[in-house]
Amino acid sequence: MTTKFEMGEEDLDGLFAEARADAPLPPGSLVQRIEAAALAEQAGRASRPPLRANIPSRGLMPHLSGWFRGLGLTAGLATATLAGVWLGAVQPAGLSSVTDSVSRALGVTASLDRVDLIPAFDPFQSEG
Amino acid sequence: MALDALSDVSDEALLVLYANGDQAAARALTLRLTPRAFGFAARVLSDRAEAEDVVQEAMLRLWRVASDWRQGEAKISTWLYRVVLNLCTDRIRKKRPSALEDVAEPEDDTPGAQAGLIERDRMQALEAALARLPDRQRQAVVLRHLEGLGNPEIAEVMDIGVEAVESLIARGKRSLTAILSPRRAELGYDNEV
Repeated sequence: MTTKFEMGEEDLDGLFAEARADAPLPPGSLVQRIEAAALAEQAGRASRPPLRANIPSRGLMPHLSGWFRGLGLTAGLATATLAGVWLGAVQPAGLSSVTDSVSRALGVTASLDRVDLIPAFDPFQSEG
Repeated sequence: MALDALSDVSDEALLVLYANGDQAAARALTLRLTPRAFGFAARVLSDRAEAEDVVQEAMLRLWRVASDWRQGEAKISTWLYRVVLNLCTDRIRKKRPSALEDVAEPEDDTPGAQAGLIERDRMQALEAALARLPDRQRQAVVLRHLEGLGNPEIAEVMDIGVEAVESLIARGKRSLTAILSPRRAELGYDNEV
């Protein structure tokens, strides 16, 4: 409760409202100085190289590139992998001629490129 | 870009335009933010010349962080209020021991006081009363009741909790009431409540 000697809540709010409407205004010279500083800073930035956006990378390749420290090494590994796959899938003609000549020299009739990776166990079984 | 076309553009978008070299954005931001920063600084410092220095420094900092501004993290106005407040606090500390709250209320012996204060005198009375508040109370009251910020934003500006803001504002208003009450009749509030 307020008495006639105290400022009331409404009195104070009214005073604040008057003060908001009567806000201190900056002098024009200050506004000019601030704008000039803005343009000077802008001009100084324009002469510097543009900043790169810090955008987080997505996907596998950027991570691989990071692990292998750059795209150069990644590209080398990819090329070696493809070359290996190519050699395994398509036997070069030069290799066939070498194996044939060796076969003839050894008197082997079967082609050396036919390797029996899972031989039969019959000889071992026949000995008991 | 024309200045009129920027009136509806947000502060953040203007800062991006500024960072990209738009000169109209520089002017628009200057005209939009300088009055708010100056009004706040002038009321906190009770010194227009010092408020000019503070606002010029704060705005220069804004131009320098423009290209690194992280959108969505803070409102530009909140950031600016905070920078202005910190600069004001530094100046107030340097001015001690003649700190603002220790300044005695000026004697009101002008002829106008005898016949009732006009609106300008009311504002002077409020400014004098604000100047007598402790720093943090004055800052909180000015941000809330003169700058129109909400309590959460004030908490961000002052780097304190919302409850602390509420407490500062309540105590500040009680102090203002106590300071202004003896001059109630002079201020034109002579009706009994």
